[in-house]
Amino acid sequence: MKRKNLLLLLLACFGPLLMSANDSGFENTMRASGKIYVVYAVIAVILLGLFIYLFILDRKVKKLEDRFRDQ
Amino acid sequence: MKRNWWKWLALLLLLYATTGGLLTPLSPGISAVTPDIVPAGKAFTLDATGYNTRLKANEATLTAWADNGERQICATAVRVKDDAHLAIDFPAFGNDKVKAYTIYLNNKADGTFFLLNGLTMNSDTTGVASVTKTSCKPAASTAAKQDFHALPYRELLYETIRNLFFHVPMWFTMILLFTISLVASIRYLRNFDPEYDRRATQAINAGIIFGILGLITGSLWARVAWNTWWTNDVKLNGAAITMLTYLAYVVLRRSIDEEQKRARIAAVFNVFAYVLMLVFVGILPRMTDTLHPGNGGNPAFGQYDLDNTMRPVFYSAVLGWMLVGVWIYFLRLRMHRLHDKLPVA
Repeated sequence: MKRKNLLLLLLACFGPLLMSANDSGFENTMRASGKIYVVYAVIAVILLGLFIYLFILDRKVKKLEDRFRDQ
Repeated sequence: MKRNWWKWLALLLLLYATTGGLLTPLSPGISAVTPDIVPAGKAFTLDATGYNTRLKANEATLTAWADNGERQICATAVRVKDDAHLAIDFPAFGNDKVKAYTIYLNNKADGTFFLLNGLTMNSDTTGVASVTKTSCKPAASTAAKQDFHALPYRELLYETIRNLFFHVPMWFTMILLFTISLVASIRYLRNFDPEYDRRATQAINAGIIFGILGLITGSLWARVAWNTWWTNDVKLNGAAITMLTYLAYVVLRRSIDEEQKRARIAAVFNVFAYVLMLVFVGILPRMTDTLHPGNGGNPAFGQYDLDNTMRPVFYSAVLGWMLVGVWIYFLRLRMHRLHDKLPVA
């Protein structure tokens, strides 16, 4: 279960990155206006990563609650 | 509320670090000059493009010169087109051993800024006499200083220097969490209390997420600063090996069914993993040359890597993210304390 979550997290984080890498406009966008978009992308990755992590944590807590209720 | 003060502190610190990190302007710089190769022995005009400069408003105080380390050559005339564009007339350059010249500009508002080795003399300078040294560089004591608070302007990095406030704290947080885990593991090996095993595991689980975020953000930054997603740099490979070691810790735990055995083996493995991390992230990169700042011949906290304007923002970001990391660790720990209280299904 834990391993599956980690894989999911990796996929969710790398997915958009890999997709945009094939886009020819990507490089130009990233280098425009003093490369500021890289900073935005980095912040977005951190926020996205932490939110996905929180959702996963949330689901685990939910399962734990369910098990407490069952017994 | 009283118990949660440090969580609100984390929020405040991160709000400060994010707004400060994004809104502080970059220092003025020269982003390009054309042409960048000129023949010696002939006067020429250089078109320069400024970044964040206010050339038009400070035209009266503008001076320009070129410097190759041996001699300075003063511009004969400077024609400002707008705040970011100007033409510089230079006299004929002489026959010099060093062909690369750094172009300097100084004005009252922007201070002194330059394009390092922005201009190269044509290598064939036979028959060209050397020119005498002239001086137009304002003396350090009287030179106009930049009149606003700004982040350093670095070629190649440009605005991405702000990533320092986001990418680096991820690694600092990871190292903090792994250190917490190390302490817990050592305590586990002293008294075999399952609570310490729980702490060690959950600190690592929380640390791994920050390591992964550090890798992804670093890769994204490298793509634009170094033109590659990944390069075989000592620091980068060291970080990757560290992450693999700690992922191996997670896998190792899952492969041992017997609880006490699992806890003991994991604790010993954790001590080794920490030593490996110190070697691969802390020591080896400092012993060789690497692209990554903060290492051999390229020290962190140097004058340019961590300018004084960046320190308050950087340290707030580090402390803020560390608190978030510790918060996640506490949540995981509390969750697993409850989990371990459940009767085995």
